[in-house]
Amino acid sequence: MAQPHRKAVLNLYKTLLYMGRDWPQGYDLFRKRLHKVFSKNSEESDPNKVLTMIKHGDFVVKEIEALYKLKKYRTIKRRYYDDN
Amino acid sequence: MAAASLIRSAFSGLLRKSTTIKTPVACRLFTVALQQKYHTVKTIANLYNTSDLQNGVSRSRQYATGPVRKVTPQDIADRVIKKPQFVRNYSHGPPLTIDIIKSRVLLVLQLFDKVNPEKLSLESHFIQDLGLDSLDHVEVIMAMEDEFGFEIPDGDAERLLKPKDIVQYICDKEDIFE
Amino acid sequence: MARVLVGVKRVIDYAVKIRVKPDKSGVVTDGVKHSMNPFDEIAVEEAVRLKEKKIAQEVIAVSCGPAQAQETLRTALAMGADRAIHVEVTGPEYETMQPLHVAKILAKLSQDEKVDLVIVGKQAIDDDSNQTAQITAALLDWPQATFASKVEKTDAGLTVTREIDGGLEVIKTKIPAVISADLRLNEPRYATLPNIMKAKKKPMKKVPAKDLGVDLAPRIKIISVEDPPVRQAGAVVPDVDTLVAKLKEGGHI
Repeated sequence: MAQPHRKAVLNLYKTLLYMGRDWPQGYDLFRKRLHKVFSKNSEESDPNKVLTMIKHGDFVVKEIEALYKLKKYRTIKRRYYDDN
Repeated sequence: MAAASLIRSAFSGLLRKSTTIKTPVACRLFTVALQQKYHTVKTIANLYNTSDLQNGVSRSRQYATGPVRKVTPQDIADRVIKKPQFVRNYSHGPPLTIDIIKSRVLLVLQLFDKVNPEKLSLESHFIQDLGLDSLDHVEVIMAMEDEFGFEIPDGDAERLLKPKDIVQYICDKEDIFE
Repeated sequence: MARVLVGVKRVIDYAVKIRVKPDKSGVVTDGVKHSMNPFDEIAVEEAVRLKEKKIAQEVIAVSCGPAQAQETLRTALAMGADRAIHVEVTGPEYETMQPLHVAKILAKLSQDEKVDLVIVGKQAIDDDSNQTAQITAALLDWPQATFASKVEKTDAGLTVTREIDGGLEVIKTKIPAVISADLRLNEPRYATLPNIMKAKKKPMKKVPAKDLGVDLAPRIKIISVEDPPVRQAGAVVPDVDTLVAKLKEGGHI
């Protein structure tokens, strides 16, 4: 069973899992969905396709980061700075 | 002689009387004079005050540029430090023994929803015996990192396939021997 | 090159719905997610940016509280602070801890560590006191630049833009100084997993508050903590005439 970029994939999984702890709808939901998405593609053996998927994963990490930041900023702004 | 002394005493009596009468008068006069003086002073002062107000200038200016005297570290210490000094107390973390590590590792695994607690032992293989996949294994390692508070590098994580391996790994890190 | 001290507080996470204890003595904290006070994140970010711009030489994060305060300090270290000081305050002393006490601790550590700049969040989102920076500056007799939305290095000191009512104020200050961070100062970075892991190798010093000799006797007594008043429910009116009638009735038109 060839597993190209195995380390990078597992690393990405770990990073996403860590970010899932702050997920608004709960960590468990995030964890289950994440596991499903990763297992769905676990048979992929084409290194290039795996690499594309890792890149997409990195993009998702950045998106989630931005989402968290924005959500926090907006909540604090609404709470402390909007008068109406 | 007798008559002379009588006259003298009468005189002195008269004199004494007159002084006792005059003194309060003088006193009162003096007080009045003082009071008048005081009033004048007060009025003058009032005049000065009103003229001050009219000009809109206050005499007692306050400056906000900080203290004249340079504040020393000791001054700050006096503000911050509680006066009686305390005895020092030392604290340290809970002692780790191999048995505590074993039970903590197993507890973390029991709480992991994909592990069947009945099948779990120190010797069970995560993938072959407990039916976990490589992704679940990542979750197990992460849970261990959280529990024991240090990083397990990917290279090391790959080799930790049984609870026993994890216990050994933590013992090595923490310098604990059987 | 300055040494910067950053104060961070562990508070109930901003996204958690706050529940008041039935006896009105405070809010429920057990089993509730905690994280770093968002304004303190901004303070840490600013300190780290000063270091990245080579204005600061070292960033020291400080937190006062029980053992869990170390998690918050780890986050600060993961964001880029160089080392951390955990001032241990536990039990009843922690429950009655007030800005004055934190300020005294910060003032003491500022002297001990010979820092040139103290940066804190303008307020914590749990008690909203907005006092720590001001009291710290007073205790140390340092200038204060509160509600900062921009911090720049100028020849002798710092130029700070402050958020004030209806506008901005630009002030110049010498260092040492105390700065409190406002929301628009910067966008704090996310503490990523690899950085959290690296942070575990950074030094963290534990100091019992008693060893600092700071007086922790409470000056304020909390009488009662209550939920904010619930907004009255609105009503749907069937047509414009009813609306106008109701408004007249209420004396609005």
